[in-house]
Amino acid sequence: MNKSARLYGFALASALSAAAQPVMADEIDDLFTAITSEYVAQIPKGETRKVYDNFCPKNPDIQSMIDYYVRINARDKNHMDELTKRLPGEQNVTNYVSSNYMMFSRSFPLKDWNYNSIVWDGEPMKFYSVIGGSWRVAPIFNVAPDRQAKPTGRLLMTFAIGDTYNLLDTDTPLYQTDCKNDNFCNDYLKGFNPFRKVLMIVRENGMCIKSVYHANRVDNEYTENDVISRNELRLFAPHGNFRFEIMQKDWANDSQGIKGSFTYDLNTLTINGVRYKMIPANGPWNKSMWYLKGAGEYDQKWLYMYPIGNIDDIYVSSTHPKHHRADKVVVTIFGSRTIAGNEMVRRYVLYPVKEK
Amino acid sequence: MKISKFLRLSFSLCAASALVCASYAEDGEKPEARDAVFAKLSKALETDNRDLFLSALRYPIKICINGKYIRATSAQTLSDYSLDQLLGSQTLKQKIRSSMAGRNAGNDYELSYGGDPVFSLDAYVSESETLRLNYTEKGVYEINRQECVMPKLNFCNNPEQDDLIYMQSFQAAWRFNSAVYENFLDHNYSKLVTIPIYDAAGGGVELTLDGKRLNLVRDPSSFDEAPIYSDGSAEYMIMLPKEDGVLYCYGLGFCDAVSYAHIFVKKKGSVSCEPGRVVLAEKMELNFCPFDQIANAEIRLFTQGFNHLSDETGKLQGKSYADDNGRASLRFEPRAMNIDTKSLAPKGTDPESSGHYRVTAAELVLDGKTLTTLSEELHAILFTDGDTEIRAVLEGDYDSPAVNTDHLVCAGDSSCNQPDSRIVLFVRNKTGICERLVLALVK
Repeated sequence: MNKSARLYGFALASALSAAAQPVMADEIDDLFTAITSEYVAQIPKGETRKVYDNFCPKNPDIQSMIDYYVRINARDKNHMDELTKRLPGEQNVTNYVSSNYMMFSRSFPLKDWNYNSIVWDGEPMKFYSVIGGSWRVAPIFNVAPDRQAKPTGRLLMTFAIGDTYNLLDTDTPLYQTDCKNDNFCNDYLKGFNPFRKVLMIVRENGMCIKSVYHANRVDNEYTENDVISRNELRLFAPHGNFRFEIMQKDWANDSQGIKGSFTYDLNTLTINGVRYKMIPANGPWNKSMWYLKGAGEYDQKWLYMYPIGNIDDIYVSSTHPKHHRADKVVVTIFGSRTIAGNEMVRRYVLYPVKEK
Repeated sequence: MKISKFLRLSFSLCAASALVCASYAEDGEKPEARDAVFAKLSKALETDNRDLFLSALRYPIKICINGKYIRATSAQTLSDYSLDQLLGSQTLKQKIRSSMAGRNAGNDYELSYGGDPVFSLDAYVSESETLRLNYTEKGVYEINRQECVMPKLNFCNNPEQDDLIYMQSFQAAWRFNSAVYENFLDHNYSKLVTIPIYDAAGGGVELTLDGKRLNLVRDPSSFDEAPIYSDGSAEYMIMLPKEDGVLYCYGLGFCDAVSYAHIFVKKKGSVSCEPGRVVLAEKMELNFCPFDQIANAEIRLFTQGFNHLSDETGKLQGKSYADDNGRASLRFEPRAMNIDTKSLAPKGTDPESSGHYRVTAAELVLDGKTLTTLSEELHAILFTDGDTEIRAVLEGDYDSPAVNTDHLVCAGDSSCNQPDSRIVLFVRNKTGICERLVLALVK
């Protein structure tokens, strides 16, 4: 048994037990005070159900999500500590992103939940320690600015909320790219994945705020208000199957002063004369998430890159799969170092630099 | 033509033809029937007359009792409660009374409720203690309070289904959800048409389930957020939840449809629901071609994106498009249309005069057959021919200079296609199979 599994406890059976008895408010306050006042916190024995039933009493909409997802995730065994197994091929690289202004976060590693961090109301918060006795389907963490600090009284609960109901996943043949060098393969991307989205809830003094985090993948919704970018991804990269390949090295958007150089070994972006190295954050060399390194204002800013081409070719490729040459590359640069809203997101279209 | 459709039409007419459009929620100068409701409420509060207050309500009404919402179907249901309890507290009652003093009408609120313009009265004590009464000339139909919650509805008597229903009731999108939902896959063909509140008080639906058209009657005691309909043989709870973190509305009454409708079915005589739920997907932008997700993605990209951009109807007038092999051609032409605004506008409002409006008509010739539609919403052009439906989608580049938004900029050379450079037709037959035809601008 690994450490985290031990910490999460095995109270799953009781997750499906009968509805809770009415509980007095004072009793609940005492219970939460008890589990947030210790350095290594533990839910008193037999009180776990009470903690989950009363996590967000003043936010019934959020409490209703806890009630529903704890139940179905327990049924389906969607344990958060198994998240890396459930998103195969991506455990080292996948980031979850949220654009909620209260709890935005550009990433957190999935390898070990105890090293996750979020920003809450402008303040960085570390996952401090998992609360003993909390359930694997929705583990609860103490969160604090640093690991030496005393507990803050803030608790964080997280659980999988999955995709939208996947009625759209039909038998349409999908163009299969080379899965060996590509994180995006049909086999594990088709169908409903409960870990495509996770919900995080922070509780303080009985009040809760929630934020949805999307697995940072081609069909994620990193720009939730930007329907064009999102839908462009959905068309050109349904289920991660890019139908176009960047086969040329040099690209440019002259009017915006941007140049791109994309090869298997090295991707660079030059913006207003400053050259940035693109550091891969998720996905293969010619698509998906990156951040920039360079001596300019875009240093450490994030971007998303994807190739697009003639739409009519998509229909051909669905019956005659073959590589199609991208005639444009879209680069979306996030305006801040975190992904917080989309006001600052810039979408640039690069074109092949014609040889003279 | 329904009012909602008319309002949208009048908006696109405004944009395209610079006509002056009526705002149907504006305060009239004449005393109106709804002022009588205001006067009655005002008097009831001044004199602390609970029965007079109850007579100013329209039933069924959504009202908060002891911290939970109920749907009261008659004044008698509420006769056990004091005026303070009906309004939340004495403080809230006093607040709303003082805010009504010296006025003769409430504030404009929404476009309409069941065809009648809506007005509201507000009281604010603190962030967690607020009150809002929404009313029409027929009376108050909704009393909302910040601190009040929806009750848990044990419709299915199954914890999983009831938890889901409860969660979805917080995300309900019934106010402006005017949409068609379909399911071709999991069941026999099912279809749901939703009618928003401005057409029908509390909203309405038309439902075909498993291939059978149902004749549904709304249970008046069910909430708008989780309405229950019945056809005598079963009860149907129809949920329209928004997804977390997605924006749907971009102006009063201008909202995208939610993606999915969820239906829970309880057969007559049974205490529990059928297992699971029937899920239907939004038709026009999400699932027009139910067996071709690439086509759906293409429709979505070129309709949702452009929907938020300026109206370009005028630019299409006089333009023609044709495919390569002569099967299909499409042209746009200005046409005069008679619109009787007076009969369409909500009662008690003073709409712009009726008469001729210039609209853009789209004429499609497909396999020798001519079909016409009014392109009242440019990016929702739909032709129908019996069971066959044809969606015409304008496909240009978002990096075109014609697309004037901050972060969609063209490279400035000839690489860009204009948004109106081509039109793609998705021809859907009655089984949901789509055929795709590409039409180019005829120069």
